[in-house]
Amino acid sequence: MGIKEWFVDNIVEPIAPETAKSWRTDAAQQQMQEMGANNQQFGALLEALPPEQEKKLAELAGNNPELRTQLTNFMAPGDGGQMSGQAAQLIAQVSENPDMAVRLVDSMHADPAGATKLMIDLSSSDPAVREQATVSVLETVVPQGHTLEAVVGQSEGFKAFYEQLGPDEQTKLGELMERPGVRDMVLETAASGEVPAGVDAMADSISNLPAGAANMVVNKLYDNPERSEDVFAKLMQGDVMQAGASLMGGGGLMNSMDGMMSTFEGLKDGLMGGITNLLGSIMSAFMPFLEKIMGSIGNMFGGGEFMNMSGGPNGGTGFGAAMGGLVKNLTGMDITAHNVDPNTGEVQTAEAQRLEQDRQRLATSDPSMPGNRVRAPEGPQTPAPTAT
Amino acid sequence: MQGKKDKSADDDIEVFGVRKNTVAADGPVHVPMTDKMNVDLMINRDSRVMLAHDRPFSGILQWVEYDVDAQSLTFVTSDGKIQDLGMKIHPPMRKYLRLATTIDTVLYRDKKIHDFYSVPLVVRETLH
Repeated sequence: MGIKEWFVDNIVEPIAPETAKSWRTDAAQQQMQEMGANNQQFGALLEALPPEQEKKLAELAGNNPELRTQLTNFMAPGDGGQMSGQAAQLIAQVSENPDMAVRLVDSMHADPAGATKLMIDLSSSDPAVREQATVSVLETVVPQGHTLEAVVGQSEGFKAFYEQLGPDEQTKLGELMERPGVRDMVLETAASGEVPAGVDAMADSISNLPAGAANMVVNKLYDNPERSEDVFAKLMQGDVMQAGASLMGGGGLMNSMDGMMSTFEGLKDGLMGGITNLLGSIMSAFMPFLEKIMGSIGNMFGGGEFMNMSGGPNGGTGFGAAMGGLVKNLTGMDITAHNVDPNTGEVQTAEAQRLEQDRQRLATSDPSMPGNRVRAPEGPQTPAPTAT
Repeated sequence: MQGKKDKSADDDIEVFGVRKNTVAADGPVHVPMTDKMNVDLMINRDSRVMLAHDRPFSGILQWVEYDVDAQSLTFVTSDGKIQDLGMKIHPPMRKYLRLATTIDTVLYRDKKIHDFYSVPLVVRETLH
């Protein structure tokens, strides 16, 4: 027997393909455990995986040197290797939900080439590539019908809001999240790893409302699903006021409040006097926005001097002046308005206006007008009658 | 013999143009704002802009466009409709308005504030 035959009979044959595969898998699994010890997020992911999926992941890495290299780079100890904050957040999120973790590993196992590309993209220096890769992962691990799960854990405010909901409303919110435009937005937001300020602010506002208010908001949205995309878009942009406006279908903040209050009208009887507290709570929830209005007006006229131009069906006469009066009442500031003529563009300075007002006051004979002078009546003077 | 004249295709022919500022209710363009309500455009030296108005807008505002060349201010609503302010933006206001990024709108009526928005402002200008 030559050396070649001996080698085949004694070495190659006993190591059947399955045996060789399992040897590599064991080694890869051990290597992964080391990576998990060095990398907190990956360690959490391994813990979340059932043995079968852990083995699948090891098998995948064991059979695919390129993927193993990417994983090694991705999980390098020290500064977290090449893993972006976004990827770390994604892995942490997936680790918190074992179902998602299983779906992730199964999909990678089914498409090793795709999984390798995903690893490369997740550690790309281009944020857009990283975000797209993250969205791909989320689309895989968050199947239709589970979009809500992807966001509940993203924001404490949103979580508090979600937990306030009744079972029916939780289901309704889940259904709303499945609307195509909404689902895309939610996943993209989840992929960005940053909760927009609007989501937290809105959720916090609603969480401060009495029980039932959160249900009311969801029901309002559920009954008007066509508004949901707009409402979520505004929230994602962090614009709570316009989200509220879209939700209520009104023209702005105050209409939103009217909408909320009229919606609460039906609760009046049941609450037996609690309505005052209820409306008080709504008002306090919206107080930051009212402060914003006042702050905005204060800032606008902080300098005390501005240009204004009026128009309207009747020329807008006096409207700007009335607004100025309101501002003075609200802010207590003396304001100076330079009027711009809407037709000619000429500016009538505040000083010129004051002189014009003085002239008009002088032209009237009403002595009760402040600053007015009493003048002698026109025409020949009749001498006073004298006693005879 | 029928008492009523049959409607013919000729009835749909309109020789004269539409009257000034008359637009279809479902058209993409609203009549200018100043035809519908009193407005007051205010701006200070820090480019803070406020628009006071005494009637609700025709829709939910998405953004406002200031076209420096056309001297116009156009409001765009969430359903894609547009509405011109109805007044030219004259030179004294121009240099401040082109630096503004938002417009605060205040619905003011009967000496009370009824509504408030802070709307993004987009500035369009031909530079060359």
